[in-house]
Amino acid sequence: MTMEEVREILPSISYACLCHKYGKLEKFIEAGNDAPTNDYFDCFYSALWIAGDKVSSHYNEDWCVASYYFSYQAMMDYYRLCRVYGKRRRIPLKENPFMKKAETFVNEMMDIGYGYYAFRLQTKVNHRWASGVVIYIDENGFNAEFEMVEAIFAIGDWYARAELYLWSVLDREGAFQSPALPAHKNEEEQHEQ
Amino acid sequence: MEIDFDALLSSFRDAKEEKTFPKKAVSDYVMSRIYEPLLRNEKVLYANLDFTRFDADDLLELMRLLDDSMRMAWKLTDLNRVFCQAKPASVGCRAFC
Repeated sequence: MTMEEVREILPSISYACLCHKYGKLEKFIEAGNDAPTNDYFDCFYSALWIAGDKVSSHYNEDWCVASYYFSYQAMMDYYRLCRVYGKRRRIPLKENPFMKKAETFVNEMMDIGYGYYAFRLQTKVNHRWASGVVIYIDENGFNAEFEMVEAIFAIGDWYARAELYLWSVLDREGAFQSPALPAHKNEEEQHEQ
Repeated sequence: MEIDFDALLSSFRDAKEEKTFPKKAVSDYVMSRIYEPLLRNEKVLYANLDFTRFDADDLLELMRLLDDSMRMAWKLTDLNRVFCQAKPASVGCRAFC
């Protein structure tokens, strides 16, 4: 292999590093990426499809716009817990600090800065995978594939940690304790009655 | 072939100095377990790599080193092409004895 050929395949190893960082290297290898390759987009799509717990895509041929939807179980649980938190304090979702924190993080992560893309954060919980991130990519100009996958992995990781934290906050407040049951009467008391 | 060495030396003298990316900045693990085996056409499998020993930044440094080396190689190739394309010119007087 020449120096130029080695240079061409190095970006594929970056995807393997990224998958390893977020504990998904095995899945990446299982998807057929067991060694460096010069097929950059094959690595990109493999990493994309394992970046979320639920991933779906759609392509608009008229506009050459690809859209991807990513959702995570931790994200769904997080937004359900946000609603528990808000209900206990009687605050609307817009003023819920945990909702705002999540939105701020997703906005920061998705600020890839290369243009030719857009995204939307969904925070519903009315059905499975209702919460998620939708990303629209204009294939005519988008060239930040690695940065995008990196952002998706980081978002999933953040929700996993944030969901545990919010659960611990609510647990400390007693949000998950079952109501106290009446004390058990012994047999003598029951017989007297 | 006639080459104006005075002009060539003058151009070299006036050219801006460019710093090259230092080879020692690249991780030893990346050089010995990824770059050199690939150059030797050996199979590098992800399952055999220790991803705790390097990260994406180390790969970026190797890419910079290779980009630097390739850029220098292209410039030398261009210079070689200039010499090769120089038109032959007969010597005005005897060159020897």
